[in-house]
Amino acid sequence: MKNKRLLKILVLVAVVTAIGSISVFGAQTNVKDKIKTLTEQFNSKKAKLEKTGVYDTESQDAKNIKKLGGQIADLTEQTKTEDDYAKELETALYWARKGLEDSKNEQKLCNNDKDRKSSIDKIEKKLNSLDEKIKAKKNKTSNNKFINSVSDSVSGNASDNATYKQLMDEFYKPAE
Amino acid sequence: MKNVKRILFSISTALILSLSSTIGAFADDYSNYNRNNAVSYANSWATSPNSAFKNYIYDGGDCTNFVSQCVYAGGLPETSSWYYYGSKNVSASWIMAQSFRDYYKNKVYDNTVLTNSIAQVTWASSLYSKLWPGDVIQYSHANGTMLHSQIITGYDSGSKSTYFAQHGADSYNYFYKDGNLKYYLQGRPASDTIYLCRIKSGA
Repeated sequence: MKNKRLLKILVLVAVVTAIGSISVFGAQTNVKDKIKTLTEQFNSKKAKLEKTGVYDTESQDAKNIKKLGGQIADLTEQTKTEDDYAKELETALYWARKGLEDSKNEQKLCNNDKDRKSSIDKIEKKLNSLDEKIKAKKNKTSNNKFINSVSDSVSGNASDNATYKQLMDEFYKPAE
Repeated sequence: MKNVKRILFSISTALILSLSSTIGAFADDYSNYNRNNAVSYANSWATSPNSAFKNYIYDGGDCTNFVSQCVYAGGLPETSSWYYYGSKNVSASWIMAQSFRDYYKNKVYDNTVLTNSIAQVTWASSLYSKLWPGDVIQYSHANGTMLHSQIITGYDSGSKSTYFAQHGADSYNYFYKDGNLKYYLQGRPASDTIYLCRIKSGA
């Protein structure tokens, strides 16, 4: 009798979980479909506006295109996976390093201003720290999980546990 | 007496007409600015400089020279204050960031100035939505010393990104296209000042 009840509960839990998964999957599919449709609209409107090269950037059409671009980006954010964040972070770090290199080179034009140098150093430290965390995450993925958990507990360093999304958030934080 | 009045009237009318035609010609020049041509030039010569122009990479940097070439390709006209007639006959405003800004700041449609920290926080409303291909972006130290110039080459829909091309100083490593401005700004000091040089609004 008890076993039957337990079985019923388990079946119920399984059904609820399945429905939940299906609805989440369905919602994700809906968002992806919406992104696809809006992106097609964006590309078509953009091509139409920019056709001649001489266009009004203050027109309602132009404003709507940028608005649509923002809308698509916000929706895209909802469907991003860890892999997407990993790729985004890689790109973000690459171009931030370009900004950093330019800023360093410009120091001679600024009479090596100390305050600016200090800001540059902080930015470099932040970017290096993110690089280290990515490296640690990659090592963790490629190595044996047991070995890593031991090394984590020994070093007390759990930074490689941060998700790529969290690292992306860290990227946008002011350098300190 | 009547004759004197007539002459004065004729002179003032001529002056007004000449002034309005100058303004008209000026506006026409900017309204003809072709963003596609400027971007096409930028993408063609971003990583390998056009030998028709002197390359200032080892003479202080080639960033503004490159931007001038791009906007010239877009149709902005040479004048007695902004020109390139050869390596020995070029205006400061063509090759120097500060002079370029001084020349264009009151001529372009919009010349917004903001700090990098503000630009980063208000990215979508202040830069993504305002900058269009063919516009120019410049940077200065907080004290106003001009440092760098770039040209906007595109924007996307997936990440609110804006793209740019640039030339740099001392190394070809600083010459590139499809630069991601949103991320690039994160590598620059928050105190740097940014100048948006929006060439024109209308068609």
